[in-house]
Amino acid sequence: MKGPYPLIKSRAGLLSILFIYTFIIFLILFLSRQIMGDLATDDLPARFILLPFAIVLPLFLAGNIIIAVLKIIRDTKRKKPGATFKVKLILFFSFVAFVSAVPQAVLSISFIDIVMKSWLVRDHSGAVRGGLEIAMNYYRERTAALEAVVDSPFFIYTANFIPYDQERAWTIYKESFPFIAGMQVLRDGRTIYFNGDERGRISDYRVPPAGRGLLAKETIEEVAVLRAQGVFRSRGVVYSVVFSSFLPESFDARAERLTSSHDILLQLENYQAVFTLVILGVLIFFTLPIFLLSMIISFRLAEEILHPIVQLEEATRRVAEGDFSFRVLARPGDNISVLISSFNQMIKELESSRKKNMHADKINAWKEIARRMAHEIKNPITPIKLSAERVLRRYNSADPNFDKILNSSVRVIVTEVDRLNRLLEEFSDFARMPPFVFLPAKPAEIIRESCEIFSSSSPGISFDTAIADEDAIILADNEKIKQVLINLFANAIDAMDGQGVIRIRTDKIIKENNSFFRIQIADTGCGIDKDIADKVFAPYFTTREKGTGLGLAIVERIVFDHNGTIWFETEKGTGTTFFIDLPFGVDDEQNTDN
Amino acid sequence: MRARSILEMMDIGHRTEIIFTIRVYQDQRRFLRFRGNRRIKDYSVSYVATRDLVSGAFRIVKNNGQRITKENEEAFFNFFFSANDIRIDMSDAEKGDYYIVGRVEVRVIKLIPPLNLLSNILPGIITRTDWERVGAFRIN
Repeated sequence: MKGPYPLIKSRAGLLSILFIYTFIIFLILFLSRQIMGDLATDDLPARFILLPFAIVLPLFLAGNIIIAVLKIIRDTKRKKPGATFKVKLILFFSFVAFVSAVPQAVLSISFIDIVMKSWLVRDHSGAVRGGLEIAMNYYRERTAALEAVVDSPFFIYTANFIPYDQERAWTIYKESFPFIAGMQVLRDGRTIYFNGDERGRISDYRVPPAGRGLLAKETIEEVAVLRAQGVFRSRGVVYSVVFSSFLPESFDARAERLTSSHDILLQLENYQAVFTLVILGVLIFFTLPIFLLSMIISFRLAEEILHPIVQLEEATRRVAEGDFSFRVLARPGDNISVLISSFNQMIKELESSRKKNMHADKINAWKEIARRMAHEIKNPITPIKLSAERVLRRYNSADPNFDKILNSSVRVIVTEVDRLNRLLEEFSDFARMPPFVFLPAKPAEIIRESCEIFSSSSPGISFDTAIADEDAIILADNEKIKQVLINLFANAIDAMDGQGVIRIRTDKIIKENNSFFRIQIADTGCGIDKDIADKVFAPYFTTREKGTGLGLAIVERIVFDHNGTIWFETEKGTGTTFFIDLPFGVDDEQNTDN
Repeated sequence: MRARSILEMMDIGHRTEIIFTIRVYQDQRRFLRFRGNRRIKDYSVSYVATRDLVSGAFRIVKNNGQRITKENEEAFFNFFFSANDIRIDMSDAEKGDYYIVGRVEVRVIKLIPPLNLLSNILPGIITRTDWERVGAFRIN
């Protein structure tokens, strides 16, 4: 089946694209988190595979649709069978796909937007910010308290015990500041004493000489260790005292999680508007190819539905034109294959019955020809026989006027024999028409030459000729067409009793995409009785005394052999108009140029 | 990308990643120059930095998973903008002339999918230097 899809030609091609697309969607959904993460890091294949996929596939599908749409527009303009119905079907399918996709997209985006605004940003942000503030205050208080130890006069006072009794100093500090977990004393940069939790111990090199205040926080076994350094001088020696204090277990990890949550909230707040657009983009990424695919499927469905109908229409037309050899082909599993096979069977039976009818018609025609021939031959035979008997009778009775009678009788016999001869010649012409010689011919010239033949022989007749296109050229047998016109003119002149006007009009017409040259010949004669209207083209049918009944039969045959058509319109007492449509048989351009 | 803008990005909740890439090329002999110089080694190290809002410290996670905390800006930037970890091992290299090129790339990472999709459309998130020649040496 030749469909409107130059790129996706077959059903298998369409199914392949559907399969690939479904597979990729499955992969994307399955690996969505990984892919989304990959997209941000810029150096992974996701960007090189997904983004081109997001562009190339819709472009490919859109290209198919555009070509198919252009073809449908062309078919509609050419009024191809089923084109309008196809447009309606496609519009309907597309509308259904669009209507089902849009509300989903709107709902999804609205839902995500609402969730972000109300659940995440409004509710959670308060909780996270509150938690973070509490953690920060707690941390500040703990560090401030530790720093206050080394800044207080109490520290200097108690430090006087350190050079000779560190244990006493440790006990005093511990009792005064219970949050202290350890005390480390350094003299000239080297540790000389440590007491308390070992996790509070710090390497000597990390203690700045003569420094004072808070040291860098350290996390040991998930416990954050705060340290503050105090300095004092005794007998010319510089002592550093480092107090350590622990934050609750996992404080750091929890603080990190709080910070992370806070960061996420900040991002959500900052990129809320843009994010909605991104979601829209993601939705389009998934839905646009589906929508385009559904459109292509709608094209194919419309094609599948209409193809057999169009074929049936084509078959009906061909049968109407007399071509009974045409058969509609049904694909296996086609839904209307029963209808198609019934139609084919009907054509077969029609053809069979038409052949029988034609055979019967042929027999009837020959019977009619034989009857008419017998009648036509009988007509002159009777006067011949009568004349011959009369001559014989007068001869036997020695009639004194025998010479005169012989003369008139023989003349009758000769006349009737001539008539018989003419009858036989025309019959012979009709039966054995010489082969046609088709050459480019100008109908205007043929008409003019045919009219001239009668202008001298029929002085009471005038020709009113209006030729639309003087330079039109048809492919025809010049002499045969002239014969057609002469026969029709002769009939018209007879119908008008040799007095009147014969009107000749020409036109260029188009029937079923084919161009024809139309000749109209109208007389103002007596017209044709409706009773005999369907017999005028039959051989040996005539209403005239001296007619052979072959003139219009010959006309019809010549026109038929030119692939043309002839018919007439008549009104009793008003006149008859014959119409002849002859195909150009040569390029329309040639006629246009001419 | 300026240091100040890195701090600003971290203040609004973004992570900053720095990637140092070092490549060692061997100079081709004259008659083989048409083939271009040969890349011998390729090293890469990356740090991802975040800000701890509670303590105000800077947290750095290296590509090998090691976590480092820097208490102040100066210490943070000193560490963040130096690739001291890269050790070029040329023990298996053949004799010849070599040179080193390097490139630094700084980018801001969105924390959560699918917000990370924005990195594809937002401008100024990635800054990448050209390849710079940072040294040359000869092995005899």
